[in-house]
Amino acid sequence: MDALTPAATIRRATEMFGRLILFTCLLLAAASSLAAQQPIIISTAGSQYQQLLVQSVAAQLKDSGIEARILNIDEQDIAENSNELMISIGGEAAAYLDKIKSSAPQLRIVTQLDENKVAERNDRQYLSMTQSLCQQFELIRALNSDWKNVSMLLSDNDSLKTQALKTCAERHKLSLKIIIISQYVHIIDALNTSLENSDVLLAMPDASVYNAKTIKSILLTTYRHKVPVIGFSESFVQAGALAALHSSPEQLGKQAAELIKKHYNGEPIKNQRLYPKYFDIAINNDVAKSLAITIPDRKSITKKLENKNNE
Amino acid sequence: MSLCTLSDNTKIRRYLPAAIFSAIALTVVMPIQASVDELFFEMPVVLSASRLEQPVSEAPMAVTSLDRQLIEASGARTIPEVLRLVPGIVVGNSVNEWGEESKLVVAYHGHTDQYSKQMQVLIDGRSVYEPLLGGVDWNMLPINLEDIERIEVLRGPNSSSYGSNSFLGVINIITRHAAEDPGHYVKLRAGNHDIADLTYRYGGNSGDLDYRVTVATQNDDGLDARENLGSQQYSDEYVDNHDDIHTDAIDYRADYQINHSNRLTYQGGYSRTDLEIDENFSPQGIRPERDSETIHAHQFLKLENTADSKNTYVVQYYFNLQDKTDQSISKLVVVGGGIDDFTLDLDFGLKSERHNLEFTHFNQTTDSLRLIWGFSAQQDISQSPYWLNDQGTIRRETYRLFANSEWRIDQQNLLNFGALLEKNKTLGTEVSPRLALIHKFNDKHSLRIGISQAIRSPFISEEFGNIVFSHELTSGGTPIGVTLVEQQLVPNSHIEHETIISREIGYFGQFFDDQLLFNVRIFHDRLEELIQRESIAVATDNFDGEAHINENLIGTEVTGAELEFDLHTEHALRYFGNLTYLKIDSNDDQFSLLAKDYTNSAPEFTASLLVIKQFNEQYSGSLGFYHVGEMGWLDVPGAPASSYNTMDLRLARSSRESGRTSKISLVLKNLLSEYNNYHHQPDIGPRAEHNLTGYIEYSTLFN
Repeated sequence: MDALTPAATIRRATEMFGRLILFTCLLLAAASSLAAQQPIIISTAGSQYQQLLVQSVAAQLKDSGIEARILNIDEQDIAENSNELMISIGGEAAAYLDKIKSSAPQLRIVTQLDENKVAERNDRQYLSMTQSLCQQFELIRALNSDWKNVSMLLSDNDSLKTQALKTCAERHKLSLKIIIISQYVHIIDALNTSLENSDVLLAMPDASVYNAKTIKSILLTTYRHKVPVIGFSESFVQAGALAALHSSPEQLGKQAAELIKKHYNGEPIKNQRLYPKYFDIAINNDVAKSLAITIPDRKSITKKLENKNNE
Repeated sequence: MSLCTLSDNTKIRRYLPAAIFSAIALTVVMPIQASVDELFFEMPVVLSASRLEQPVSEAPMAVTSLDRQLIEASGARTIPEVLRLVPGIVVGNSVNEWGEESKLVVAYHGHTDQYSKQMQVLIDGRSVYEPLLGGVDWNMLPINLEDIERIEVLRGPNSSSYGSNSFLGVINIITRHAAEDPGHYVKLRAGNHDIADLTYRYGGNSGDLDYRVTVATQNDDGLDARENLGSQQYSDEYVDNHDDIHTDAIDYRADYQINHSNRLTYQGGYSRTDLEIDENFSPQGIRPERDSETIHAHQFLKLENTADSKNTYVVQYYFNLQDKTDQSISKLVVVGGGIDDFTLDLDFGLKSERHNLEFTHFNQTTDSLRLIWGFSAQQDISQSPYWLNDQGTIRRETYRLFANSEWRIDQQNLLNFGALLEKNKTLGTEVSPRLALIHKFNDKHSLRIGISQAIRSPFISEEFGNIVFSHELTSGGTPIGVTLVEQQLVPNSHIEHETIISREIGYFGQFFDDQLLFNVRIFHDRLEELIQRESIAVATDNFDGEAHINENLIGTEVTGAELEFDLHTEHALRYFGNLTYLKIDSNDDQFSLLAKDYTNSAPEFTASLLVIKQFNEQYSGSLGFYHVGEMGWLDVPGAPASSYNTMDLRLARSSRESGRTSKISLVLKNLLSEYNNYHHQPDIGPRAEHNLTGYIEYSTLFN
């Protein structure tokens, strides 16, 4: 080994110090990067569904080493000045983010997407809890190809929405009748009108139309007219709807976790509106039998819908 | 931090806007928060297994389902009028020369007198079969046509599901859920025959409670008669029979959704009917013209638990009460021979109660096996000075255990098997089984082969009936030491069930893109141990020395075919019709006259057709045609009602404006000619007839 000259020793020491600084900087950068992977999930404390969804998202992120912070909307001040990725669940949490004018990137999980609404920002992504209405028309076709006339009840007269729905129905060779309930004194009057010459009633998650108070009279009246209902949740099908495409909190949580992980892995949240890619079909066989409707087996319907999704 | 801890104005000024905003925000969004769960989690189970109707194509027997459109279009004021649309059903008005009170009678395949004892009638699973005299008092049932969702008629015996008395058929009336009729509803009806009806209903909601209250009054002067001019000649003018009827009723229902899987239904009703009863013209008739008053009341409680998608449990209790007041003084009895003429104090009143407790479990055991099983206990209590004489109160307990299964062997074959075990203290234990195989050629066409065995328990007066009139004779006001005793009916402690074995082949088909539903069946029924009155010598009877006793006397065989169709055309036209051919045989040498009565107790042919047309959004019309062949009711032997055709017309105009839906309609009945549907004996008394009847109805529904 050669003896080191004082100059070489100083040069070597300087190099090592430089490397140390570089390593420290890299370490700090990495630590800083890790510290930023703490998304905030905001939801409503009282909602059972939302809490299950929160737990599902958090659990699946944790498996990937991401520790989410979970807040309820009554703990607002915590999120106010944060620039972490915000995941809002439900309309109330989304309204809260609007209220605090959060500039953080956001993944908003909402009951239903408004397809006509233009996205406000590039770093805001929407994930719907329910399938697209076009997909519901696809389900109707898959359930019974003889059905031609579909009716829907809407709470408000949104011409863009109704036009989009009709276009979608036409694409599936279905005739769509839309009844606006505000034009009737009672929802049953609206329903009776909508069911005339109708093969099937398609329900969308509109709490002004479908809620615990109205669901009894709606299902009883449709049953009396022998018109099946296509719902949007498993609970709706248990209540008496014929069928529904639905995603469990676990399935939605999985998709949300995938989007969040992508965000931290170089594919940041972007201006996008997504529907659940993981879903099940619920069928009420008792109702099908009572209405003498023969339903194809569940696997073939799922396959048909997945194929359509992939097209 | 709570607003309550704020202690200075600065903090209040700082936080108040936010607090107000939060309060407003919460006010606005709270419903959304609640609704997310409502939408995804907490919807109540509405169409539970117990509520769902079995499709006709998969029913183990022939079923006619009369929906609200048919009920309304028929223009009916009473349920029996609607039932004329069912294959094989004949309706009679039992007012007749013999002075029995005016009753509406519904008979399926004959074998019937004014009590129609071989048909079971259920309202939401509550039997309204009358325990003392059998049958159903259709005139007095506290139920409004407006509250009925549908009427299902099971054509054929079904004791395996509903117990004894579901013998020749079952009429199952399903009323509407309280949530289906919100707001105020008023219906007025006025027409000839002093028809004056008014119905008011209010349906409301409070949280998870839906409720409905209906009050109604229904009045008419019954049937008319033409004066007998002798030599089978009658005057052209009609006179009013003494058979006016006035009924006031209140009926209520509450549906409480305890949580998403538990539901409580409570129903009750009370009615009072005043009925004029004509005098008795029979040879030994002592019954004068008089008025009766009958109270009907019921209470019904049902708890339903949908534990999961495979299990539903139902516990229900009901109580029926009938309390009839019918007292009078008899016509003068003339004995002669120096004995004073006298009258008798008559009390035809009666009181009967029924208590019933039932448990049912609906279970989807596997994807291909469905099971309904349960048990029930029932107590009938009857009192009647006339029918039961001095026996006081008769109590009868009946216990039932039942199970019905539906096994989907494969996509094409369905096997239905069921049995009911019924135990009764005096009548013993009986089993009623049923087996049916349904073969589905495809979604549109199916064939059914079935065999069913059923029983009819003798009702209380058939078993315990004991009718005695007695009077201490006097001469010049002084007792002569002789009491005149006229025994008319004696009890029979050995009486047994009537039995039936029914075999059938049925076809159900859907045609023309399901616009035509068609079903036909051929059947053969063997009935045995049929109960009828027979003369018996009674030593204590010093009037004529004989009385009657109810005994299992005779058997019959019924063969026939029934056809039913329901056609909806593209021009808002609906045709609902049926045709029935029926032949009753009874070759009993010992009771040849009785055998002949049974043979004639149903018409060979009946048919009906109801055509409904919706002209436009406002106007609709319907035309009903009914044909009934000649037949004789068992309590008027040798005096069959002639064959008749009749036609009813209804025109309606509906309007909807500013939250109010109104309808005005004109109904004309018996358009073709006058007819009598119960009894035709030209040489006795006035003839009660159906003649032109018209009324106007106005109904309005508003919030």
